[in-house]
Amino acid sequence: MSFLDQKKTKRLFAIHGWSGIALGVLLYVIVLTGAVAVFAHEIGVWSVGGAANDKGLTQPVDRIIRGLADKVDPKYRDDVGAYTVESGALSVFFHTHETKPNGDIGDRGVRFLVDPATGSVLSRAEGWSSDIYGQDQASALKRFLIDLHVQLYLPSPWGLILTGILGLAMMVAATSGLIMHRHILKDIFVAPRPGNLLLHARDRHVLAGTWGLPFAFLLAFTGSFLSFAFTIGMPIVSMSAFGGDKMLVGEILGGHAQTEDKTPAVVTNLDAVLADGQQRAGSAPTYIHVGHWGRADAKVGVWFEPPAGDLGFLQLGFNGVSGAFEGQKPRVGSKPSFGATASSVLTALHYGLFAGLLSKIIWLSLGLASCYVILTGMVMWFTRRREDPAWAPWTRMVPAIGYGLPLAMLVSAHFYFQAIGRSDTATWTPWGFALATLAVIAAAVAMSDRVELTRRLVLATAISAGLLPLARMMAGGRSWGEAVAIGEPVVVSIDLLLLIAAAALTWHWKGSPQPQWLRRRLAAAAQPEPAE
Amino acid sequence: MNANLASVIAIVVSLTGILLLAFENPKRRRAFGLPPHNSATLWRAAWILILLPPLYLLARQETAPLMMWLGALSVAGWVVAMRRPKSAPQSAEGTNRPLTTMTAWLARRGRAVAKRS
Repeated sequence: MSFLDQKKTKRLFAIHGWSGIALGVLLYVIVLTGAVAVFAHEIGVWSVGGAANDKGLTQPVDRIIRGLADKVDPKYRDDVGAYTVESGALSVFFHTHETKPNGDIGDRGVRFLVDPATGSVLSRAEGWSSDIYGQDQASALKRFLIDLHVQLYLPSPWGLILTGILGLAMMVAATSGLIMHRHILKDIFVAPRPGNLLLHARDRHVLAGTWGLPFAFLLAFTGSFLSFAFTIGMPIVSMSAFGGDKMLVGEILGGHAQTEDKTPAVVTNLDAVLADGQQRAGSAPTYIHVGHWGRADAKVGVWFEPPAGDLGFLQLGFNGVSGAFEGQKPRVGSKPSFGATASSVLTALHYGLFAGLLSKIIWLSLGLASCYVILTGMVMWFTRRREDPAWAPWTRMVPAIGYGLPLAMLVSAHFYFQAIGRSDTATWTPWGFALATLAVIAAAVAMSDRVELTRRLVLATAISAGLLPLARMMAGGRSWGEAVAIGEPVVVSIDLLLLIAAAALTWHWKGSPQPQWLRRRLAAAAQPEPAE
Repeated sequence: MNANLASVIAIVVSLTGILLLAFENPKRRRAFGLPPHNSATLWRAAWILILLPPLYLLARQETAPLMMWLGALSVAGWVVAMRRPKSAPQSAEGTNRPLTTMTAWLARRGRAVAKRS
């Protein structure tokens, strides 16, 4: 397979190894949180204890939205977006597009959370959308995990730029690995060989890397695309072709009407539009948007789950006054194009949400397989340098990040449940993660025995996972009986998965090698007492 | 046919082919200390089993099941290939035990299928 001479292979090997070891920790964070974020919706539902009303937009919402429209400042009726959140409440956001003080385009308006069954307003918040959604306490855990994956919880746009670069680094690692490996097809079924530790570590890394290569490349490419699209792509297009008018670019990409008609008009019945759209799409609506509410040029867009066998979410357009169906709307622009199709497919392939639970499980497995490749790559790197005193302390990095990250994610969930119901849940959730990370780093620095560090981290992760269902229930979350009674399978499923994970980790902890100090103590105890 | 059902059937059929190829693979057999087993019929059957489902899905333009087939097979193929001889050392982190048990089970099923064919 390899067409490189020894010198070039060696150079490529160095690029592959150094890029992997330099960015491996951040890559592992992105890939693992990404794998978990595939189930972001389920995590959101579980964290709020399930939805008593899970009818979503299939229940009547027209009367509620119309009633709220009368209560808001007319300037915020420019755009209206509505969907149901994890708790089953209807979120309705009346907003307009304005330029933020930092020059970015943002949505500013009023967001209501409404009980869709009774129409009573649960909460009202006014301001920039980023601030409103950023302070949404109930979805704090889900949002934190997504933020960690999307932009490493760094300020925008730096986090997105960094994750985009990491995506490129992952592509470099995948490509260089492919070129370096001389017998990629011959070795595709060769199990890791026993004996030599380094050879064994190499086989594990190469085998997992080879099988996961197409998807590692695909997920890295689509991730980079999504990161760079709005941080670099859109500003470049806006500067080069639209004189820096980001608002105009947004309008064109959104496919909004070019000709305006501000004549007052009554908005069509949204329930009728949703029913019509559902019949056409053959799947459930997830989001409804009304542009230019109360005007003759009003447009309604309805988003649907991907129809059976398709990859992308479906968006149907309707006239906002007559309710007449106007056709399927592409993801980008107003007319079908290669760019719109590519954007839709790339997004769908990155998220893996296109076929319900099955595609989510497969995408989660792909993410976990990529984590395995990253970790085994690190094991190989440190095994090769285990005799070097300069590198020896760094060998503890592998268990520290391998188990430390899942542990920190679990601790952040514990903090979330401790703070739930308060106004600072969204603050404490990331703090839980940060404190757990610092504790793991301190443990890795303090403990010189890597085996002991591994054992303690495994045990801590097992305890943390095992106690999480209890913490959720003690924080006022639904019990299993209550969850079953309202027909919510997600709560019980995630609780059970956590308990299974805790049991598996405890089993692993019990079977893992004993640390040096315990081995020495046991050996000393086994020594026969000297005869008097 | 339901898209998810089509995906599952495609994955199971192709996974059978993967198991057969793993059973036949000469380098793998050497690592396990097994005698060579070169059956052209088995090899052809394995490739037919692997390639038939994606070709069918492609012909029907079932893009979602096709992507799920590709994703699932890359994970399942890895799990099959990961099975190690018993004398192999535990990894430094000891992360392989559940995987080894699973791959051993899959390999046993693969051998049973291969014997029947």
